[in-house]
Amino acid sequence: MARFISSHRSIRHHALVACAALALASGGTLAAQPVEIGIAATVRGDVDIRTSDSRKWRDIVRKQRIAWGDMIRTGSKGQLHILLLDRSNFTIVPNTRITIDRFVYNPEESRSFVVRMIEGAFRFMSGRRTPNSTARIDTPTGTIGIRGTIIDGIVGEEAADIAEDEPFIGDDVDHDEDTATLVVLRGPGAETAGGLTPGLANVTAAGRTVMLDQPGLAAYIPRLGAQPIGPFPISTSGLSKLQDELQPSVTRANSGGFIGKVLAGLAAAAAVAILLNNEDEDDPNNPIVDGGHTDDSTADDGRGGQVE
Amino acid sequence: MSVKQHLGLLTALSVTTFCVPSAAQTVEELDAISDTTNEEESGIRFAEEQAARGEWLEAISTLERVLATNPKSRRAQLLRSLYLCRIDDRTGAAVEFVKIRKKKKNRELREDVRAQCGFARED
Repeated sequence: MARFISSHRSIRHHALVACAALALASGGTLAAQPVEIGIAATVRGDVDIRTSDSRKWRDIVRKQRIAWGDMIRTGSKGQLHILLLDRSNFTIVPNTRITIDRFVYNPEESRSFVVRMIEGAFRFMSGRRTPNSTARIDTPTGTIGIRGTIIDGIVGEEAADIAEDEPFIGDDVDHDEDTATLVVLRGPGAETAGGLTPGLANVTAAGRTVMLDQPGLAAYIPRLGAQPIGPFPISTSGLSKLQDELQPSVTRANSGGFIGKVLAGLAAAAAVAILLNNEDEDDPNNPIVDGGHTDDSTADDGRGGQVE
Repeated sequence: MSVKQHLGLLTALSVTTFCVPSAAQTVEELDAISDTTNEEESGIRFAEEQAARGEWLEAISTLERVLATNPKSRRAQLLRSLYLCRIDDRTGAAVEFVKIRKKKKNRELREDVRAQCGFARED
């Protein structure tokens, strides 16, 4: 029986690989049989979808199926949470455009997810603990390879705005407000509960890879063709601004309007410093104090920064 | 039948036979999860159950979806802050914690989060 199961798994594994290969090879033919990868679990505001077999944008509704090749865009107040089959969650916020390039999931063996980010901001949260899980987010300037983690990213003008105020980013950096990309690892860290695997992200661009392996570490690609800067511990004010971008409705609910938002932003950094004033400055896991590692050697491994 | 048509048929068969069956049932589960997290109370309860099983990342994403439709839910915000601490993102948790409006009815949970995250008093 065990042998049968093993054989069955092997067949299934090969079938999944075949599915992927055939789907890629057949291109538009696949549109007749969309490969569903998850659903629109939460939709807020204006969010549109264009499937791979259509030239027409349509409103997306809650519980709508998401499939390979789908393009999704959000309006000025749009927000979408995509719940993938492995229970990973991919959130996009206002003024974001993405394309789902690939998702292959075998619950017992592996998960592979590739999404292309054209503009906007996202948060990716890994789901079930599946061996050999990989995720890759391609941005206009580079790639982000992810292993079991929560990661925040933002592409465009807001990324440049946040980065310009970061102490680690020098004044002489040339930012492109269309393609600038900021990536922040949120966790899990080494001290995580529940025996989770610490999160890891590789940010690759122009032949250099920056590894993020502690919560609060960031990498920044200022423009197309530039290498990523980092890793560096993002400031609390920078993290606060990024969180505001990723959850605008919560920010509005807490601040009571634009003025409140500005005041809250100014006060946030000081308040966080007070909250964490018992921080152990010798703690190597404290992102405010310490940095991470840089690894140039993995830049040309042909995986585009994907972590395994 | 052309080569491309053969390839398309083969693709459709492969996808239907091997890729979709396990997924089809799971997609229905995702619908149920979406329904659960669309309501504040049931969504928070679901997140707490996930947290109790040690599924911290899933619990956080559940709360994110609850907050997308219920952005004023202080309880969901506080729990998310607590769960961020659990995965060792203490600074991120603090950044979120300071923005949560203080409400009398959530005072106990707020103090619990403060204690469990090791946050100092603001006053």
